[in-house]
Amino acid sequence: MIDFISINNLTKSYQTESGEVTAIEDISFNVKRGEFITMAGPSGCGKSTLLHIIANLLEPSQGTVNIKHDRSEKNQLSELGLVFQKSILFPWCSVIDNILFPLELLGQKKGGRERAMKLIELAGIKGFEEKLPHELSGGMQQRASICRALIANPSLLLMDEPFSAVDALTRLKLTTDLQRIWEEEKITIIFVTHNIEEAVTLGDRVLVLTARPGRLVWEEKIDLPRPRGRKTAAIKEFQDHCGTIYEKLGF
Amino acid sequence: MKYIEKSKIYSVLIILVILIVWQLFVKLMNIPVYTLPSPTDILSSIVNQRTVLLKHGLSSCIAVIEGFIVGGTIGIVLGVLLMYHEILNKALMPILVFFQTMPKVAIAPLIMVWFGLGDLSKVILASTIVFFAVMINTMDGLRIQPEYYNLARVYKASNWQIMMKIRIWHALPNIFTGLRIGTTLAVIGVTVAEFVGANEGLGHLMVLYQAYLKIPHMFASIVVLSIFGYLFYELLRIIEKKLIPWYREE
Ligand SMILES: Nc1ncnc2c1ncn2[C@@H]1O[C@H](COP(=O)(O)OP(=O)(O)OP(=O)(O)O)[C@@H](O)[C@H]1O
Ligand SMILES: [Mg+2]
Repeated sequence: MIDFISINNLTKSYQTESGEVTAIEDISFNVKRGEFITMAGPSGCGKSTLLHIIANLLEPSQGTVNIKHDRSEKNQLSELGLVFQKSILFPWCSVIDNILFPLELLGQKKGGRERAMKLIELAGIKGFEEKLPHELSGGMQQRASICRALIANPSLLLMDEPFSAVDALTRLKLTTDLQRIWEEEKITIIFVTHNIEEAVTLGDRVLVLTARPGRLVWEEKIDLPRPRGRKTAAIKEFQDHCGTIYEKLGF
Repeated sequence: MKYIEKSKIYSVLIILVILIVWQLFVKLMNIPVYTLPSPTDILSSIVNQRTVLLKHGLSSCIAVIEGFIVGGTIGIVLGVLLMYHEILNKALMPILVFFQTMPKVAIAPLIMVWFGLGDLSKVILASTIVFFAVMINTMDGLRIQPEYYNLARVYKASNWQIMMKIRIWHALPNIFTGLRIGTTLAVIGVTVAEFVGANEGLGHLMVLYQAYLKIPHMFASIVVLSIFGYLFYELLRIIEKKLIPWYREE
C-alpha cells in the first residue's frame, strides 16, 4: 500500500546576502493516513520550512512531496489545514466569521455554520463565537485557529508550534483536547514543536531533527495508550522515549 | 470613560486659563489692538462680522469637505491600485513623490491661472495635498504579515480576494489615520488657495482684512476656521471609532 504522504530527499536552501543557507537537507519519511506525527528539534532546524514545503507554500530546492488525497472523501473542500505558531485570527471579525473564513474564500460559506458550531463545541469555545478575537484568551484563540483549520474538512492538518505561546496549564489542556479532536475528526496531523515531552505525549511517531542543516536523525515510535495526559508523563516508558530523543539531539 | 471626561475638563480649563492670561496681558500692558487684540475684542469681531464670516466660512467649509473627499478617495483608490499592481507601483511612485515634494504654495498661483478663482482651484489644491497622505497610509496598512498571506494561499485565494477580504480590512485603521491627517491638510490647502487668489472664503477675507488693518477681524476669521477644522477632525474620529471597534486605542 502506498502511504498517504511520502516525502523524498527534501532539501531546501535559502539564498541570503551572506550566501546560501541550507535549512533542511535530504529529509525523507512517510506518513500513514490517520497518523499523528510530531516533529521535534531545536530552533532553526527547519521545522517551519518543512511544513511550508508540505503545504505547498514553498518550493523545495530538491526532492518531492507526494500526498495521496482521497478525492472521494465527501465534504472535503480543502486538502489541508494550517495552524500557526501565534494565533492569527483577524481582529476585525468575530470568532465564527474567522472560523468560516476559509469557506468564504472557497465560496462555500453557506451551510458552513452548522459545521462551525460543531467544531466550536468540539474545541470547547462554545458561547464565544460572536466575540472578537481580542476578547479571548491566548489559549481560546488557538482553539479558534484549530477550528478554522478544520472547517474545510481537510484530511491533513499541519500545526507549527501551535501551543508555544500559551502557559503550561493551558498547554496541558490543549494537548488533551487536540487528541480528542484528532480522534473525532479522523484526520492526519503533522505537529511541529521544540518541546520533547509534548512531542512524545502527542505523537504516534516522533521525528527528531537536528539543526544546521536540518536533518532527520531519528524516528521514535510511541506506543503509549491514549488519551495521554499529565499521568502519561509519569510512566517509565514515556521517560525512556524522552531520554532517547534527548540523547539523539546530543544532550 | 471617566478618564476621558476628566481629560476633557482639563482641556477646557487649560484653554480658559490661556484666554484669561491673554486678556489680562493685553489689557494691563496696554497693547494696541492692531498688534494683538484681546479675546473679548475677537469675540466682538465675530459677533459684528457674523454674516460676512458665515458666508465666507461656508464657502471655505464646502471647499475643504470637497477637497477632502476628492483627495481621500483618490488616495485610497491609488493606494489599493499601487499595492495590487507592483509594476504600476514602481512606475508611478517616483513620479508621485516628485510632485508631492513640489511646494504647494508655489504651484498655487499656477492652479489659479489654469482653473480660475472659484471653488475648483481650491478643491484641486486641497486634494493634491490630501491624497498623498491618505495614499501613503493606505499602502502601509495594506501590507500584511506573511501568515495571513499563507493562510489565504492554502485555500488558493486570488490576489484580488486577498486584497478585498484581508488587506483592505487590515488597512482600515491606517486609512483613517491618513484621513484624519487629511482633514487638517484640506484646511491648509483651501486656505492657501484663498490667500493666493480667490473671490470667496475665509482666507480671501483675511487678505482683505489685512489690507484694511482690521486685525481683530483677522483673528476672528482664524478662530472660525480653526473651530471648523477641529470639528471636522473630531467628526472623523467619531466615525473611526464607530467603524473600527476592534482597533483599541492605547
Ligand atoms: N526566508 C528565509 N530566508 C533565509 N533564510 C531563512 C528563511 N526562512 C528560514 N531561514 C533559515 O532557515 C533555517 C530554518 O528556519 P525555520 O524557520 O524553518 O526553522 P524552525 O525550525 O521553524 O525554527 P523555530 O523553532 O525558531 O521556529 C534557519 O536557519 C533560518 O535562518
Ligand atoms: Mg518555526
